[in-house]
Amino acid sequence: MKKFKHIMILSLILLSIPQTAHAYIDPSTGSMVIQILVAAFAAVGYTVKVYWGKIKTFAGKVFKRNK
Amino acid sequence: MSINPENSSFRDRDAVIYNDNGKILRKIFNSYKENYDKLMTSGLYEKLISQNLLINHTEYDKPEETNVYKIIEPKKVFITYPYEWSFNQYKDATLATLKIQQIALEFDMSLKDASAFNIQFFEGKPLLIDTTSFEKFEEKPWVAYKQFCKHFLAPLLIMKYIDPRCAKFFLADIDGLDLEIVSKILPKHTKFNPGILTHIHLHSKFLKQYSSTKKKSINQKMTKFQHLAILDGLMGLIKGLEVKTNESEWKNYYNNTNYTESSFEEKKKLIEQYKKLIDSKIIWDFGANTGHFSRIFKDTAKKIICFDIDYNAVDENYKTVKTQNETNILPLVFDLVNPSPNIGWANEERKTILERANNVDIALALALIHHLAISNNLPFNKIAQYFSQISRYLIIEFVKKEDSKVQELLNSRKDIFNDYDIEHFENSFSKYYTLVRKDEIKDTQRILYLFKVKE
Repeated sequence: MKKFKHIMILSLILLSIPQTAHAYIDPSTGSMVIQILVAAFAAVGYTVKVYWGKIKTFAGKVFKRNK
Repeated sequence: MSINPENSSFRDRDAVIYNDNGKILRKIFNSYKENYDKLMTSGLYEKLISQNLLINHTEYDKPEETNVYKIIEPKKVFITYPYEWSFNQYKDATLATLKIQQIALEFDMSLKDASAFNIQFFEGKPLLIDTTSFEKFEEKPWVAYKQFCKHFLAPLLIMKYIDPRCAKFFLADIDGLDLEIVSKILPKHTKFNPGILTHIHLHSKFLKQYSSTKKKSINQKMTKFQHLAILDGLMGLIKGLEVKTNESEWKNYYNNTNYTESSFEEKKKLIEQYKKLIDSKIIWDFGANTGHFSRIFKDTAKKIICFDIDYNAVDENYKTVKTQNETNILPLVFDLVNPSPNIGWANEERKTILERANNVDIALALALIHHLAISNNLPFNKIAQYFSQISRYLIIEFVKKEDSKVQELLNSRKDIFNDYDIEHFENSFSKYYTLVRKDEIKDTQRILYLFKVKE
């Protein structure tokens, strides 16, 4: 529970000035906040994945050339 | 001339679906002009069409109404609902939605909704039928994220971790599964899965926490890269979800009948003969199991729908459809004694199966009558009347009381079925049908009938 409160405080910090939503479905504030939190972590993993893919392609080309 | 708006088409104010003398059309209003033009000119439409992810449409000439920008006619599809899908159908529909969003982002657009009702199975594959679901991408959180979790992720997870039959929970709420309930019923160990922890467990807590705050929206930026990162995570989570079924169970599915090999073949031959008597394009097979007999019509039918109550049988059938690339076969989960009802506003948003029965040539009801009449106490009269509303012809198998499968059903209960015999069966069906063919299946206690509905 304590951990959850910390997450909530962190998420409140992430929030800023209110805006009007134009979507025809309600995106819900809670859903927006969790996305922002998830995005922060997911982006790190995704960066590694994308660059790892690029490194592998590059290494593959170099290896092929050396052959 | 009659123009009727579809009862389910009222949520999105950018467009409306209506029926114009049998033609299903979509009216796109001026409010959607910019987004429609971007969809059509950016290359997104072509890319989604080429990957069979979006419904094809034709545009009509300039409409008369001033507030209408375009009128389009999408390709006709048979409408199914998420609570009629097996696990792998649900999984493929979910992955298709994520793939569409990934592609949309490439073209600087994004899905403004992620409703499972917008996905339909066309030629064996899931595709988006709502052409007006796209909007210009803005660097903010995905507006359809909550709907995606409620309509796709949550149902899939309970199908995986509780039971595939839990897809029916969707019937209780047209707006998808309540994440708080899903979080409560999922096993505790799912909290150790980062994807399920965040998208379901924490998500439900955040929804509850923020439901009472006055803050309705936030202006925190979310870059395209961050969107792609979340989508990639969701994709990985969903791809990893599998439901284990005992393969040998399916290999023996048709062995577990009381047919000898020769009588099984004879039944098949009789159906092939019946097929030759009728010009049949649309076939509905009730109690189709994995679709063995449905496939007799495979080479000539335009569409075969295989209905079965068993989620695993439907899933197995769907896997066959995929591996064999059978574009005219659609397996669906369907309980004949409790069919999908009409739900939503005024009980008219989603259609019953009878309302969706359009030009069905033949209905098949093989090895089914004893389950309806004995397990469910249904009088022959009611069965005959229901089927007569579905199709022009009916191929039905009568299973005599002496048959061991009927005896199995009667073993555990009192036999109150004095009228369960050929005479009563034929009398009831003759009220609605004319008899075309009647054949005893050799070495069995079964008779095959071909009926034609009375005009």
